[in-house]
Amino acid sequence: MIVCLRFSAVTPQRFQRRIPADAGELASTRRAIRLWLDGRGDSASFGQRLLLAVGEALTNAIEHAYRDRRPGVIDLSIRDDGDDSLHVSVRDEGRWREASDQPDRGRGFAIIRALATGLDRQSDGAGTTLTFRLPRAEGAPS
Amino acid sequence: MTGPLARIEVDPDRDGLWIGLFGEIDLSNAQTVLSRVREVIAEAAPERVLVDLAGVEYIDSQGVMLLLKIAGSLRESRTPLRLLAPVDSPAGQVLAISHLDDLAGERLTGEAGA
Repeated sequence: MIVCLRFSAVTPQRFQRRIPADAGELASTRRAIRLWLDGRGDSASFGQRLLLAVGEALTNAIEHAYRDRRPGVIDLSIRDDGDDSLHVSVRDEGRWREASDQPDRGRGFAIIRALATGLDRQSDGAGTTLTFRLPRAEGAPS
Repeated sequence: MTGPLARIEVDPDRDGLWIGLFGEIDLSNAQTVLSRVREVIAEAAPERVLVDLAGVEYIDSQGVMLLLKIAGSLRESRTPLRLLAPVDSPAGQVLAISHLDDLAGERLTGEAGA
């Protein structure tokens, strides 16, 4: 069986990356996103907010999705549909856990909510998908 | 000193202990950075501490928890703590979003200018 742990596909309109659910992958993913943003000409401020929101979503999946089970992969997608925001999707193949038994978890989600709009989570037996939109205009979520 | 992503610089003679954090702080290294900062504070036994975050290029909730833990340790020893983070920097952004003053109940205030 062949398991693809790393995969990247990048166009100006879409950034896709599959990574192992490992904290050591966060920095290289940030570097790849920065390169993608540089090529698009997005502002430094917007890039900072995108990196933070995506980082929190990835960190949540790395910390919690595969707890007590074999680490799997995370699929990150950032899509530009030509409107006023970027659409972000973070998909894991683990198990969703409610935050009640993880008191530190709320801080990461609070940061995503402060930066993004339309935060949504879909969980089923195959995994969890977190989606949100990152507005180009600063302060839009509040 | 704290891995390839982050480094710490220390100056014990800047009206207390100055601790400069540089680079990136995330899930992969926050615990290491925290341990090193605690070592530095224990060695210096300062009257006050200034943590300078102006050189931090990335910091998220893992870094916020790091700062809260440092604040908690210093509160126990009654050592004043001040944070320095330009408002438009990655650290300043996270401090503002996290309402760190409210969370910590401490003198954790992002300041403009490094």
